[in-house]
Amino acid sequence: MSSGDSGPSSSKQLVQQPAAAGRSPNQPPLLGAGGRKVIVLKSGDEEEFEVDLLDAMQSRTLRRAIEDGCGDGPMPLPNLTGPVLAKVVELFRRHRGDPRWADELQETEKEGMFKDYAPQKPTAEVKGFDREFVSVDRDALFDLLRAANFLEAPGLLDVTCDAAADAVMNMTVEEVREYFGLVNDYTPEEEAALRKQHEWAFQ
Amino acid sequence: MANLSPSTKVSKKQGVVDLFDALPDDLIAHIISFLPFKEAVRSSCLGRRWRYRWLELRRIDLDESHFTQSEMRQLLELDGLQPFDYGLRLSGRRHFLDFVSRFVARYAEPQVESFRLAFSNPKEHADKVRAWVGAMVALKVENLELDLTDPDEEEPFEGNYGYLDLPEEVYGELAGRWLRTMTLTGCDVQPERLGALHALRVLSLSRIAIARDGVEKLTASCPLLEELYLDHLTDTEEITITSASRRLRVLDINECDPIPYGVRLIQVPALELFRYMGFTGNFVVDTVNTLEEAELYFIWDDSDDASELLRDLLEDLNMVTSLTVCSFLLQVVPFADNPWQLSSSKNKVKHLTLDGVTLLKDEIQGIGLLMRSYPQLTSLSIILSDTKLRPSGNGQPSDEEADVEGSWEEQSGVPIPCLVDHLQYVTIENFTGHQSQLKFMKFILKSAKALLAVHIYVDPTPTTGTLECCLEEARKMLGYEKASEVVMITIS
Repeated sequence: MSSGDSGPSSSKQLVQQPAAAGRSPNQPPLLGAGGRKVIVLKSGDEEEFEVDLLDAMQSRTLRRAIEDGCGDGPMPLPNLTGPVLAKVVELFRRHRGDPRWADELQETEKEGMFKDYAPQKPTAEVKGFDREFVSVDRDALFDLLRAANFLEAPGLLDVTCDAAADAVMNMTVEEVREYFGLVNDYTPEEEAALRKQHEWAFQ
Repeated sequence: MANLSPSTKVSKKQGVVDLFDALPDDLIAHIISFLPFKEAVRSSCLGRRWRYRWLELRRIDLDESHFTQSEMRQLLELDGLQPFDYGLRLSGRRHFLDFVSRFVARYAEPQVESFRLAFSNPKEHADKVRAWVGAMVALKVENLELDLTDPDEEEPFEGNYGYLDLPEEVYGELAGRWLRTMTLTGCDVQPERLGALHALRVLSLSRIAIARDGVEKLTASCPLLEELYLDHLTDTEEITITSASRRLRVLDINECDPIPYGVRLIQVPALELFRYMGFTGNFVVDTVNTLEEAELYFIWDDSDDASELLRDLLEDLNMVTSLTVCSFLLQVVPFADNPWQLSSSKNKVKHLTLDGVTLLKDEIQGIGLLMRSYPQLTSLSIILSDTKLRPSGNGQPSDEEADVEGSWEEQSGVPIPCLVDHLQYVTIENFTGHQSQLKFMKFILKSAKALLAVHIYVDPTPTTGTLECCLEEARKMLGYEKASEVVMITIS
């Protein structure tokens, strides 16, 4: 997950439109393609990403920040790396209007801001994207899980949590502990009692 | 890489990194919510943080069979390799009762997404079962599934057995407001007591006695119903769906026999898919213009009027673009009226699927009739069945070979419009290379001028010879005379 020498300039390869640098914090959010409002997110390793404002609203964390007026300049997200943020931004874009998570946005509708955020059924393409999105190794998956947890983005959380569950499906307790790096903090007696209590679940 | 990776600590004891160190308990609950309920419960043994997370699940699946038999044991018993163990059933059942009672008492989430309960012979614990279901419905459950049949019974439904009245809550206001899907199997449902289920989108009823016109009453209580599945209902005298079901898109009726007064679809404004399996009966299809797809499977019967009834049904279904029919229909339809063609000239069928057919002599007239009646037919799919499933298939198919050839030639004598300019795709599944199949393909290749692609999926069975034999037979059609210059034939 190292992003090496990436700086603001390298973000051009990762986003659709290169972010405008050096804007004054007092400027209103940028207008992106098609006249839509955009904001700029800045990763811990100083990469900048331009995101459609409505897409960013999929994250409760970002929404709170935007509503508090923090969306005017580049918004620093020090605990997300460039590569992780690049993936997340792309997922937000693909999940635009997805009814699985759009309800919440509709509720926060203000001044018709989401009038063109009409829910659409998730297409096979979106589902395919979701599958591809989590086709990563364990450590990369947990980078995404931490990002989902920090951003409080329901779609991102569902996709990543589903993948984590898939990874340990049909594993024994010992195998799951090893995969997740869990230390067994039960005493042997406690664990035996618990296994006895839920014996049916082990058959 | 500022704050995240450093916050995951390395355990001194074993040198492993606990990936959940920087993550909250909520996230653990979210992850296990994607596991089957049983595996989610098992996760409580992982460590202290995981112990009670399963009690936060919003999708609950309580199934007695998880307690009374392991899956392996179940398989062995089904295969007769292990004797049925009654003692194991009893102790498992006790554990289940105990587990569910405790679970319901401790469960404290404000809203349940789905609740499934599978419990056999509920009568001896009727009060408990009613209390559990009532408690969950009171938690605004959105998807409710109750299965009260006994999976160990070979014929799980024998008239009036093991019934359990639904708890009051199911007929109450909270259910009306929150239930989005309801699946009931082997319960006692009283349609006249149901309040308005304002949120219900999907209703599935199986092995339930619904007397007289109960189905109509049920649907009248569900103004937003989109999908209705009726399976093995008894006592039903008629199934009538009217304009009151204004959102209904899917209607699936599976072996609800007998239905003496038949199935009546009258001015159902949004119906898209109608699937029926059962005996031939009276069908009324009146002003259902939105219907796109019909699937019709009939159980063999000797009644004299079957051909007329099915013919009327096909005439009424002239709005569908996708039609699936079974062998029985093909065999009887030519015997009423004109043996060559339906009388309606407005048939819109583009995709025709013949499911469970043999292509033997007794189906040829029916296949020809349908193809001739559907001038816009562009794709024809054939799913071949094992011939021994056929009620009249006792004789060796090869006895009829000579006649088969004659019959397709006879069909060629009366024009089939779709073969001139519409039929582009033909697919055959379970191809074995039998003469009847080759002769059908010979006929199609010779007469379908617009044909683009033929897909043959070979599926040898022990009685039909090896894969290589079947493939060799299939390859013969590459040399047949072709009316279309561009047709591609794939065999796999």
